[in-house]
Amino acid sequence: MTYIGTSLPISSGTPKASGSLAYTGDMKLDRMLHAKLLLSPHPHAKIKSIDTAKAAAVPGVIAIFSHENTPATYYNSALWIAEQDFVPDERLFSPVVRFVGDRVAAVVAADEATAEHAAALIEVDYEELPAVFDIEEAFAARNVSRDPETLPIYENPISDMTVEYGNTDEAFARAHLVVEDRVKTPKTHHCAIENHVCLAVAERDGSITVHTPCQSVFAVKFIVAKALSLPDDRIRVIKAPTGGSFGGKSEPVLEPLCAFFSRVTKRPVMLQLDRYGSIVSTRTRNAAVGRVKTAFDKDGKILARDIQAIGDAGAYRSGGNMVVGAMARRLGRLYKIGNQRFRGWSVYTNTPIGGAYRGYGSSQIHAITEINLEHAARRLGMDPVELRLKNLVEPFDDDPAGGPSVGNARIIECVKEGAEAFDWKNKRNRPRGDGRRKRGVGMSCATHGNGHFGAYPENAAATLSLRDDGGLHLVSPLHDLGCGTVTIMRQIVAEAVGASPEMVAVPEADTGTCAFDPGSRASRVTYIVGECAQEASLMLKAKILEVAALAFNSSPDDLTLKDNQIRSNYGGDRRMSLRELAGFARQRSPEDISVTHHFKPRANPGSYAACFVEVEVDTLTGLTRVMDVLAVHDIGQPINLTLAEGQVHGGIHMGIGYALLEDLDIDPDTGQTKGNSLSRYQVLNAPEMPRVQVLFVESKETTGPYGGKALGEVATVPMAPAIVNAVNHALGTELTELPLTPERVVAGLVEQDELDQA
Amino acid sequence: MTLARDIASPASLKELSHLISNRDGRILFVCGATDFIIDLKIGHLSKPDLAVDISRLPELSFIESDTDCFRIGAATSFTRILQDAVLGRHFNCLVKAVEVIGSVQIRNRGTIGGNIATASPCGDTLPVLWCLDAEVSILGKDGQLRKAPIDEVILGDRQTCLGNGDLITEVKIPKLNNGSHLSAFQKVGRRGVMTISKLNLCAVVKYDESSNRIDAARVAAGSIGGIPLRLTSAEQILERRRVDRELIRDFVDHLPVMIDQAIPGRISRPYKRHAIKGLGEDVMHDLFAEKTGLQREDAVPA
Repeated sequence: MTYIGTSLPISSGTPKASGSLAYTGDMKLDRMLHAKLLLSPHPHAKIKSIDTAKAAAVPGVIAIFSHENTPATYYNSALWIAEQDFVPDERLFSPVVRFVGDRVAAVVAADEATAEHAAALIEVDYEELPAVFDIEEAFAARNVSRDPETLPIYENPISDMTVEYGNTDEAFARAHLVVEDRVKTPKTHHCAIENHVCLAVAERDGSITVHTPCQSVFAVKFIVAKALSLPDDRIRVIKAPTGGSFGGKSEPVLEPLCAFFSRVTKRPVMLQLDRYGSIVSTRTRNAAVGRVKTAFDKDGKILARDIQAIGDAGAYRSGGNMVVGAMARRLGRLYKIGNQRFRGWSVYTNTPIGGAYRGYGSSQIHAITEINLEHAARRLGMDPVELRLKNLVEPFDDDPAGGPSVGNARIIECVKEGAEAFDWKNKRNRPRGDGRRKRGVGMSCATHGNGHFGAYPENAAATLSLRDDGGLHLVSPLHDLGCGTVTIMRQIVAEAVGASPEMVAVPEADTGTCAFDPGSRASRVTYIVGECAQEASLMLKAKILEVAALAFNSSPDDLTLKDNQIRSNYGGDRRMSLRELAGFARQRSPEDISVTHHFKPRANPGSYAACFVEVEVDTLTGLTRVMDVLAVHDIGQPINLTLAEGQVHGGIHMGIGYALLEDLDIDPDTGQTKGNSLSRYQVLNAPEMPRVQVLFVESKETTGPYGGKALGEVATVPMAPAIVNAVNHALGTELTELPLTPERVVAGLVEQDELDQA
Repeated sequence: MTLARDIASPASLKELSHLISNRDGRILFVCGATDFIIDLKIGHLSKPDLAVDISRLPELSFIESDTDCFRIGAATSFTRILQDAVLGRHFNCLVKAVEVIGSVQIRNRGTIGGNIATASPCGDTLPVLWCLDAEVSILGKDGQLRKAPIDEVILGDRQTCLGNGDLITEVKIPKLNNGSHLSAFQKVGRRGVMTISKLNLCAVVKYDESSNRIDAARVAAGSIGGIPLRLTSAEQILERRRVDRELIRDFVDHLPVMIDQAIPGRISRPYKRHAIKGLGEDVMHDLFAEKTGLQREDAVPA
């Protein structure tokens, strides 16, 4: 292959590095206004009155919005298909605020500083209401209406689901060993460099154009239309360059507000959040509490597993139930488990709203189950690698829960190659140190899906044309979030057609020009849209050769298209460039050289990963240093090697944060987010990034483009449990509450000491 | 966002004095501005009537070595302090504290005078200045210069003795006898680098190498209360003792008691009483490993 598997530089690299790329926040339009939000200081309160007189008196203030003058139309920001039946409980501004950071009001003014100044002058009289911050406390208060105003739907649980197959109870009854754990994962922030931002433009014809660094232009379109009670066709959404998302910009948050402000003021309105706003008032990763029981026979084969998990949706429903569903869908796809029961709930709490986050559901469920496996290995007296190898799925296994086949699942190779390259056996058996600093190694496996198929509707569409200048033009609703989607599509099209990547233009999503697509979500873009692009490319190539056959006076089968040129397989000097062919076709061909392809996948294989880590823990300060990481991924054929490695590096960085540092850290008394700035919400810094080695098991997936599968999400999933396992290996503890902050490590050690002395 | 009603950037102290002497309203001196805008945004500071940029004053950025002391200009950046080899040889503890303040960018902008005036409980130079008996020079709005020991300048969490228009001009640190004084500083934060102290610890000892004895000791911890905490009973453990493993153990074992006394009901107590042992071990190691050859007991097997 010419371009697949190479390290073609990312197309946005130079504009980003040189600072020339214009993000939404850089856009300036004539007569553009700026909006600022006033966010709730209370975790749950009824707004008794809002006095905007002082704010309105500030020169430059154009409009002030609150629940008093905005639609009471409820919507659910998680939907991505028109008419999707998700329970609506959010509106532009609510008369009852449900968490610290909920939207109270907004000021639209001539400039940002004026809007900010005026927003601070709005006087709000609140009547505070009881609030719940803890997942289990919220769970305990099931089926109790917690809202005296009985505003839309505000009862726990949001969802209650069971997945069961085999005979779990019978299998537990004959178990040699049952290992039980309770694992807690934190609510986390995506930390994209670009804060949330949106620019809406009310057009003269009454329609609204929305520029947004979103993950799904169609989701934005449908939700804005719903919130504003406008027909869908009145909303046009253009995806703007994105400064990182990681799921955080998957759901429309600012877009309905911004569109409404623009509609009322009849001027373009820009709404940008600061870091506090992005952390508390957009979306977060759902926190979770899981109880897992795993039954083993004496050889370490998993007989059965029983899991109960609660996901914290936060103050609005969003896709809280779907995250728990995603947790359930992983359970039969990593290990061969014949008997399994999962019960999962999603609950409201008076905390920031949950939503999409890289590793959707997988990060939570793998933390729960992979930490449990480490403890099981310990009690079985087995090496954790051996224990996993006895149980891992094999290629083309069925999903016992009824989902699609796991596909060409090569997790066993990942584990074997990783253990070898990491020198696992030696490192695992090395002394951990008998002094203050202890060393330990841990590992974890993980799987994540490839698109929606099997769970939600899935499709892709692409129009690929040969332009008159000889270039190729791919129109497909793509959302490059910074990870190189555009570059990958250029590689796929170039490879399939026989053109060079620089000849392939790939504009991003615009509802004004593109057919429907679910967006950049569910690890679907490379696998689903890439496959669609490959098929479209092969169709276009056939068309090109058909026309070329006229020019060459030969059969299409006797022609080759390579390096932007067509030539005969039977020799001769004649070369026809794509530009020449386009000109020829314009004059001679009965139809344009263009194809529109609609693609419906019929598979959803797993992407797989195994991570091996070494840590050093200071038993006095409780600080954990990750020394060394080896990640082995089964993503079929990597389309772009450098981008793939970069994804894994970033995933590891994020996973270390999840394991050790990152937490919104809601104050259990006040409901305030303590991790509400980058000095209090700490991610791992570059100097502390460990040595990282990335390997790919390149075994092609027959259903993906050139054998490729998804990587973006699975890249981060195994890291956190691998680190927790390494820390527990180093210390002999069984810490299960993430993140393993110095305080938690020290508390665990003190407790262990007390137990030893008792 | 406007930072102040009025902003001035004088080029000399004389111009500054002239500028503020008859000025009404609240004056705020800004130098590295590493905290200024953030503090305004989060409400730690209210907008001053006049913000005076003192970063361009040549008179405030210097490191001078006198016979009995070092004088450091208030607007001297942390980076410049780190680059001064003589100062570094004298005060290992100061260098170690400055080395771990923020990031390179913060150290390029942040100043020693700013660290004092901000009076954050987790200001890393503060326990160092406490142990070194630093003296602070303050130029009043009326042009009068006065001097005050550091523990009379910093009064509490973000509280100082500085009145409106008072400008810190320099910090004077008495020289230690280079042959006999050793010092060390350690801190722990949420992560390994670029982190705010959860706890820090500074020690300065007068050490007699021939007898391997500590003659005198100053020990202070930061990020515990509003101001650095002198650990006098820990100092007493060190004084007039031979340096050996037993001494280190006695010192380290005593530190949690000091935390228990300082913050009895605080939620952070269980962690800090444990972590301070780590800082204590590290400080003792830094002080004595080279002189005595005493190594840590905790070497991790390779």
